[in-house]
Amino acid sequence: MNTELFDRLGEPARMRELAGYDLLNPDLRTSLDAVAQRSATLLEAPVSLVSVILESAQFILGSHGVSGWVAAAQGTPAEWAMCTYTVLAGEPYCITDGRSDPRHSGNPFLQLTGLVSYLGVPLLGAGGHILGAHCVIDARPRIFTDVDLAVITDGAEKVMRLLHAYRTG
Amino acid sequence: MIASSPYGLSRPTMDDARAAVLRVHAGDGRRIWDQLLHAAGLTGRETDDSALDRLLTQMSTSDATTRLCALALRIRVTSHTHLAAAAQSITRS
Repeated sequence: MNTELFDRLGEPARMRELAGYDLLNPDLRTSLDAVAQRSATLLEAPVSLVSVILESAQFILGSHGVSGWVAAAQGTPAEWAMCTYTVLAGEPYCITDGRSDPRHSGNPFLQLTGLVSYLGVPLLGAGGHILGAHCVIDARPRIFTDVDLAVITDGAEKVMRLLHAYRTG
Repeated sequence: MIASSPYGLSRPTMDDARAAVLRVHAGDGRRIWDQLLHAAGLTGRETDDSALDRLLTQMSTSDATTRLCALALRIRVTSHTHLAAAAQSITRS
């Protein structure tokens, strides 16, 4: 497993903040699915995710267009998740075409799903830690616009308002 | 035979679970790990899937941070199971 990456993601204070949310609440999932569906529709993307990045895996809290092994696992290994890059960057992250991007061309998630482009924005918790990301992923190369970024940022703000209502600690 | 590391993804082990617990709990990690092993009736040296499953079940009833570790490891286990099976079917066809 990828020790250096997991050490960064598993930083105790960040994990404690994540642990302060009721992430498995089914009502939260329903609400976040709706946010993902809205973002996918507005940005005409086949896939949208709301996810948190745990110490070794991406956990999908809400989604649109997810199927197969990703749906079965409700996530992906952290080292395959493009949202991991968003979390580590702490700012919006985009991939125009993962097939020709040396950072992502060998990513099994892209190879297995046929998805190639990505736009994600970080989810900033009240404790100051980047908890996860809200994103859209597309099967065609895309140059995302400022309008696209504004839409996904608006979605992320909705996500954080919903998450705030499910704080337990 | 099922692919052991489809797309370079290894199935999580007891050692991986221990590393995760130590990582997220820092100074308390050793004590929490020992408690988890004791509660699950394990030594930590087991290498079989059933022992890991027992440990993850125990972790899932522990404190909230440990529960997230268990969740992450379950995602990796499920991903591995599905991708290994898919790789096996590709090899057969």
